[in-house]
Amino acid sequence: MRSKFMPIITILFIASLVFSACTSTPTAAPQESVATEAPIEAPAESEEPAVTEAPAEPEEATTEPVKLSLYSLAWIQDNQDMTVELINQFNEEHKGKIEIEYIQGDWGEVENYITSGVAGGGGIADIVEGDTGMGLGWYDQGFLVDLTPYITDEIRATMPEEYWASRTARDGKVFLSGTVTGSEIIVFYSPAALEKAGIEPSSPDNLWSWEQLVENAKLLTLDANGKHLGEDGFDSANVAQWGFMPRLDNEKIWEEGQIFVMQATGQPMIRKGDDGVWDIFFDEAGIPVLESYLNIVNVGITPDKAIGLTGDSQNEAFAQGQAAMILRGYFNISVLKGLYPVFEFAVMPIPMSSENKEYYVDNWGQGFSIPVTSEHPAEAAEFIFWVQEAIQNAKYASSISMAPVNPDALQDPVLLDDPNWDTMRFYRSIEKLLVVEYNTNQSEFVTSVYAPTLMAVVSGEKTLDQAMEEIKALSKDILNQ
Amino acid sequence: MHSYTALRKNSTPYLLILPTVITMIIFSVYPFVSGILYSFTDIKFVGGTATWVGLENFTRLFGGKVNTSINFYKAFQKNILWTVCVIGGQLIIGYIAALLLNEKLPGQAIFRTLIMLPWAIPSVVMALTWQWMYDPFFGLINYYLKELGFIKEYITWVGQPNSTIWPLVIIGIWRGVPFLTLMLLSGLQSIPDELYEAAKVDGASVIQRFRYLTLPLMRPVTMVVLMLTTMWWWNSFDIQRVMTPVLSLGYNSMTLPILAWHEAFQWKHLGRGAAISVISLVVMFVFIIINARRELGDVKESR
Repeated sequence: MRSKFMPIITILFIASLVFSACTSTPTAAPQESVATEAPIEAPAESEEPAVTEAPAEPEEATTEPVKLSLYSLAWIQDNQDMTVELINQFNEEHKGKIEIEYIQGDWGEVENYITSGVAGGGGIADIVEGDTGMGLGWYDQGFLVDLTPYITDEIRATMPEEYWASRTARDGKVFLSGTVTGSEIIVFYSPAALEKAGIEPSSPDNLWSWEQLVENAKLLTLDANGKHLGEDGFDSANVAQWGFMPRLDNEKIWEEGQIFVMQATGQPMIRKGDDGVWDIFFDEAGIPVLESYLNIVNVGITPDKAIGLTGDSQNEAFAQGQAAMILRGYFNISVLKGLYPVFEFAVMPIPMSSENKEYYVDNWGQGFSIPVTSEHPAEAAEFIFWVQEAIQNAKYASSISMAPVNPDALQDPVLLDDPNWDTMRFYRSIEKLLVVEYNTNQSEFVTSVYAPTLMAVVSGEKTLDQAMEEIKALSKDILNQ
Repeated sequence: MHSYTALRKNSTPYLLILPTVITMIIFSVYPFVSGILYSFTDIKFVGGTATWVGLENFTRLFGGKVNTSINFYKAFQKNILWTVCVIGGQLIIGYIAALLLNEKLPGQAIFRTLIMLPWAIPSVVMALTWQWMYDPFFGLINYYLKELGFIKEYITWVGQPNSTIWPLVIIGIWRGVPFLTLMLLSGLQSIPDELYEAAKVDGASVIQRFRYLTLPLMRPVTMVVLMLTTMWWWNSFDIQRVMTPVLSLGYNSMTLPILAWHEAFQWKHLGRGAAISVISLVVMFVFIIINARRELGDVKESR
């Protein structure tokens, strides 16, 4: 019996080998991989500008609207609602021509969504939301349409060149539109707690330095008897209110830490050196800032349970009065308002030097891309650049509480009348945008080396010097793969 | 004519199994073979362009001080620790539960139903529930441990560089106990009562009856269960994945499937991810072969 089946099994195995060899495309001859060097050419249709395509289409074609779908990464209810509202408005304005359908996506799934969709040859949305880092990775792999042909001078003027730079691949092609920038972080504080401690919040005229933040946070760290950190009889085992509670985890130690360092150095941490080789740079001016930031648990103003804290838990602690100040992205204004409508909070700038009043921010941002599988890239482009116009951009930015890419949007009444946007306007007034070239191996480097090693500093297992040495030992190898 | 009839007769069974075979080739054999082929390429994503790089992915994994290799060795060690501890815990608790359920106790049917609950809950729901329970700030576990005086400060249990694998091991044990209990219980019920009665008459104590009767007679069932669960838990992915934030490798809880996923889908080294899976498969394969040979040897001896 066994002898009868063996030939069949052998044939089936060989057939599957042949089958897989035919469909996957490994090449036997050693040759230089072009996948990361140059993006795969987008389909011919995407290379044609919208303006040249439009006249070729017969009038009758517009009677049946072009149907598109949009994969949204909105995770805040207001932002989801606003994206739907903008889509409805666009559909109304383009009735009979273009009709867009909203698909709720997820930040954790979008990578698999677009990868499997493009590999499978379709079945995914015509417009996919993403950010500059993700977008570059997708473009490098040939997943995205080149948007350059659809960008008129008028559209080009809606966004500063630095933001276009972060949305432009090494070959000069634009792969992502702009909605918001996201690196701006702020200190959320409880006005009641600061008032009780007699502390004036940081303001454009009286900016807190890191030392001031730590000293003020000590006054705000209270035990159950109302004594503050440093006061005689302070019970450190029974803290009722912590002075400062950022999220200390792999994600934030990188995202927020690099912003603090940039304030001091004016340079991105991961960049190419003079020799053109990628590396991480611990510039001298940034080390004291990094040290202050990583030392907050040891100083006693932050609980060690802030290590691994989720955003939800952090907000809950803040709303319940267990933390007087927290550190979050601007978007958290929307989150807090949604979760705790009656809770009173305010926002202030992050610590920075009063002498050198400059706010450095990288040009990271969000926007929309068009996968190469889209059959209607011109129509999709029409929508994504329509959202970039000041009025729409202001609505979108307001709903997600992140800075709009279009400078005119900040002067729109939607944002002008909201005092929470004053800090953002202040940031913008002193902002120095850093054009940061994105390294596609950054994710591996940050996730597996940079963040876990610095987290060991936070928990007191390593010194910053040890950590920097360990990180430098591996950085070049990973970042230059 | 005769040969045609014979051919038809002979080919009928093959035609009947053909749809199943084709389905298996497309959904099992093809991805399996593709995965092996990908491990020898520098492919970045499924269906993408790939260049044959020979053993480069493997040499980088085994090759010393580079990050890939450091991660691989850590994950490999953790995978062994994870599998041994989870299965060991499941086996001990599963045995105890099966022995208890094998006794004629009041409310036995209710207990049998209740013990199946962890098995019935969808993985992601289960992992998210545990995530909340382990929350460093508002989790029930920290709350009760502090209330009972076992800890003074709240602990960050999972998902961070300083958290350990043990909280995940507890979830793994909790998750897998029902299956083991059920399998072991069915094995226990197949042992004739007469054997125990005879042993009792001979004066054997409870421990002696367990040691000299139950354990040897349960050995075939136990070995099958161990083999199955080793394969499942060696490749376990969902618990670690959900309990660890995407941007956190969960250094002390990073097992091979998690590392393979990060390499392939987060860091876009699909070839390297495939290589990790191939190594993982080879280890499992060796384990299965050794175990199967030993079992076959035992069967021959018993004849």
